[in-house]
Amino acid sequence: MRLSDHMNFPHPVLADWRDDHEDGILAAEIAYQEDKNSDRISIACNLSISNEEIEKLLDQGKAAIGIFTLCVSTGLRELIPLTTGKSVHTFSPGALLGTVNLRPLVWTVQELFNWKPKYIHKEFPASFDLRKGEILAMGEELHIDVGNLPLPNLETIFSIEVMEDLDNGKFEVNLDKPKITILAGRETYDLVETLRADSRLGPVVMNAVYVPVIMEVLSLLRSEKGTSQYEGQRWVAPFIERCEKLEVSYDDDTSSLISDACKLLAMPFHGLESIEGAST
Amino acid sequence: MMLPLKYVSDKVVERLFDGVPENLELYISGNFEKKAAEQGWGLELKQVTYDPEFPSKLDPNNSPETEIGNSLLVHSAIKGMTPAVARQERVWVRLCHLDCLEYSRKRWIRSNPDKDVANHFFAKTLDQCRDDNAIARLWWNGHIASRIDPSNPERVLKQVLARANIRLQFLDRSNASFRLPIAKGVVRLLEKEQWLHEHDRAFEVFMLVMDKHAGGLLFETLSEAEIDDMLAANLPAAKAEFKARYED
Repeated sequence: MRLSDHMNFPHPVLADWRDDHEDGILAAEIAYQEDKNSDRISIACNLSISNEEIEKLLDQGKAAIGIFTLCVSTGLRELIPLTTGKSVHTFSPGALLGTVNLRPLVWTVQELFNWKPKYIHKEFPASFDLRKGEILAMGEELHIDVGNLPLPNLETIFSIEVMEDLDNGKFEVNLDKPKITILAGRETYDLVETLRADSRLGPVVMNAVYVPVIMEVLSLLRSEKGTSQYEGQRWVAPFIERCEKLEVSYDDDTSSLISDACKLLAMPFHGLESIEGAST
Repeated sequence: MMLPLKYVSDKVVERLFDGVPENLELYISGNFEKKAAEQGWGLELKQVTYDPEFPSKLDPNNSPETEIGNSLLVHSAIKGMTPAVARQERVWVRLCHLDCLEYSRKRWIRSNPDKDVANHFFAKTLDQCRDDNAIARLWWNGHIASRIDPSNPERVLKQVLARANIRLQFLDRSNASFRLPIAKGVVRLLEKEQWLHEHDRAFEVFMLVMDKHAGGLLFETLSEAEIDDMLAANLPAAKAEFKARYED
């Protein structure tokens, strides 16, 4: 029962990415405001539809327009009837946290018999009987991020351990543990720990160890099995959250691994400039 | 008398999680009072209070009846909790390690203590918070039941917690359990339709069939009677599907 761009319908549904209707679009502009004192979130919406057939149904009171709201973090799923043009909705205190998906919709509020929309794809029949609650139009899903939570500290999801038979200078990564576990031979481990202990040399570790490790993690998450192969591991949620907040894709295998790794680590190369003697 | 609900810092959570193996004795038979004197254990939530007596009333027996009672107890004992606050792991970690330690260990620490503690004393993701954490799962049970029937959440819990697989299927399908009209309808159907309780997979198959046949319908626009008709209309297909999968 999840609404998505790829849903199948036996009747035409107006959407920018579908060719059920020859033209027209359901468009939405949404802004939000957080009241930290009351812990309430309000959204201001401006909804518009440019399809004569569906506009007529709205005018006749046979259809309604609004937003379907989904907040993964709190579980909220709510259909909010609004109006075309500008309107405001306020959610209950504490109902939302993190990413909130907002899907503009138009739907029937009564049964429709013998509905004959014009200018629809020729593979559809000429007329339709629709139930109450059928979706007639979908807009692009919009996202807002509420709660202003600080970015999760990435270092807390890593651990470095010794793997005795690993050659000097080599690393392996184990993602099947609660933390992203970096494995190194004894000498390499000791060197890394020495560098980590020296606050001036932290950027060296960041660039030499964490960047390639994050590249490896992204590469594995972008593989066919995706994040599901590590389901339940404690490092996954904060890693994904950081990716989403920094707009780094964890499932697009065409995106640059090195750029994305540097983005996740807040451009660690700049940290090398702070090392004495590094600047020319 | 109600007290402000407290939580621990992120650093305390990480230290506790990393320290599970060496602290195992504390989880099994000791306590965390000494650690709780350290910095980061006593942060207060502004608008959430709790009855400090409730932990002593929790029953660690593993039965649907005690789960129902515990869920109602936790939900009513914590005032001002919202879903956003309830997603904060730091809240549940403190409760599991201090006030509710006795209950949490008796209820959940069994043959694999390391893993049992990691699963039930912490709550990193939504699934872990909602389904695994010893206390959070009870609050979420009560929260969902109260949304479905504010005047009688016990009635909802009697259906949803009747079998472990019903709870799993119901809550795991957030697109049903968190959409109130659907959730209410499903509970009404569970009260009427004995078949859904007779087999461990029956409810699961019913929800799959519903998803297939009515996934695109906005139940929010339907009346209770219309929803009941819609759900009941899918029972024959669900029974046929169940038969095909598990009996033929």
